[in-house]
Amino acid sequence: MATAYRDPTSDESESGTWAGASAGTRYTLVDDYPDASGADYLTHGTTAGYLNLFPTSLFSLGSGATGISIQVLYYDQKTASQTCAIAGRLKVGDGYYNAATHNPANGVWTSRSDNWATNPKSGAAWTVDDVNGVGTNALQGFGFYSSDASPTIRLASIRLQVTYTPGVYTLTVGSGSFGFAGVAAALLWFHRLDVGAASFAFTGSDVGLRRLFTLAAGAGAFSFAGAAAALLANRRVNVEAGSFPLTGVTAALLASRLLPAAAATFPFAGSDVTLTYTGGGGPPPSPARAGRKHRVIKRLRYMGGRL
Amino acid sequence: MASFNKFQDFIEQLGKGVHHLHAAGDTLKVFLTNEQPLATDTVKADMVEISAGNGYTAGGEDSQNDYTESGGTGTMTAVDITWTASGGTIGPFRFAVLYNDSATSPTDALVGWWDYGSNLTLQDGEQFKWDVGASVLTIGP
Repeated sequence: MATAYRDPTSDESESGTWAGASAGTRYTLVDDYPDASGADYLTHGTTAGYLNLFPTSLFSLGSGATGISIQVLYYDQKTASQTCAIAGRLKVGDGYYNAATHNPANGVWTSRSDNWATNPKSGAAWTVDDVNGVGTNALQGFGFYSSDASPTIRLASIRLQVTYTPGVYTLTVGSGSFGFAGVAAALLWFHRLDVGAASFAFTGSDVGLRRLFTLAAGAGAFSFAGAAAALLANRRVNVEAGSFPLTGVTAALLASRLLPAAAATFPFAGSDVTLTYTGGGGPPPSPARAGRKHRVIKRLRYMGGRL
Repeated sequence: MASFNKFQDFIEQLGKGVHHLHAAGDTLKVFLTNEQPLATDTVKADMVEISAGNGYTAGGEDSQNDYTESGGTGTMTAVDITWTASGGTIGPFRFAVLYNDSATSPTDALVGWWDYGSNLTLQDGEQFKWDVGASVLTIGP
């Protein structure tokens, strides 16, 4: 539970006999709650009546506040042993509502708390608007009421208090979901994608297998499309049996590119698609060319290639 | 339930290895703002965070993020965050924004945000809870 309070900052109206300060400034003697020792005080009586007071402003509870109740807190005493009667009061929706009166202690400052668990005008639970001073059932002020002010009654202080359960506002967070598609669908530096049988489409502006990236795949269908769909220098695709269409202007197997494959069908298309010379076919090479071919084969083997 | 809204740059920075979502990786925080986030925002400085004080710390609170993988789907989790106004008000604010407080390039890279739906000012004693479920985000097939 939480509390907030307001002390009086002006007089509204009065009836009966009041002493200790002039009309219009009576609040100045009771705005120092708790003042449990009665450093300054108002005196009421012997003609009974009321004193209505205003705070500077009403409360400003958040919209989620619940369990609201209003209290008028004050310190009082009477000046003789005879019975008298005093209570706190509220002004709500332009009406005045008194708490049940009590007979103050004789010569002893005593703490009092009059409670309104519900709005006395609406008869319903206090709402945030009510205590914030909004609407036709708005809390407007507080004060004292007496039905018997003889002997006289002393009042040291008064305070308007609201007790409530603070609002708890919850933002229930929905979860985000991200798939591998779009501008970030890329395999970047030193990233590796090992896959089993499936179908994988790589699309988007960053689709590429870049330097030192490896795509090791089992049987499946793999289509590479787009400007970067290329097997560039030192890129490697290890595949088993399958069908691998390589398309696009850079769909080429260039020098030092390696595509070791099992039995399959590999269509190559595009303006740059070439299989560069690695030996074989045509007339027998001259001894010098044969020696150079042998060195080329050795170098390709050294590079991990396979003829 | 408020929908997760991603910052586009999160996708880029995720692919570039900026975000380390696991507990031993980066610290992802949630801050509050009253400025409408834009999907094209990239860093925390692109928005105006609410003023610090009365129970709100500049930079927001640690989401205690963690990241696990199962069955080909990565899941980032977090714990609930509650702000309590004390000694005054917090706000007004409307949006809770998740960002990477550890990221240095770009600095405080943004991840996503949620919309409370209306402006909210916490009065003294009131609470605002960023209530996460089983996950904050998933990255899957």
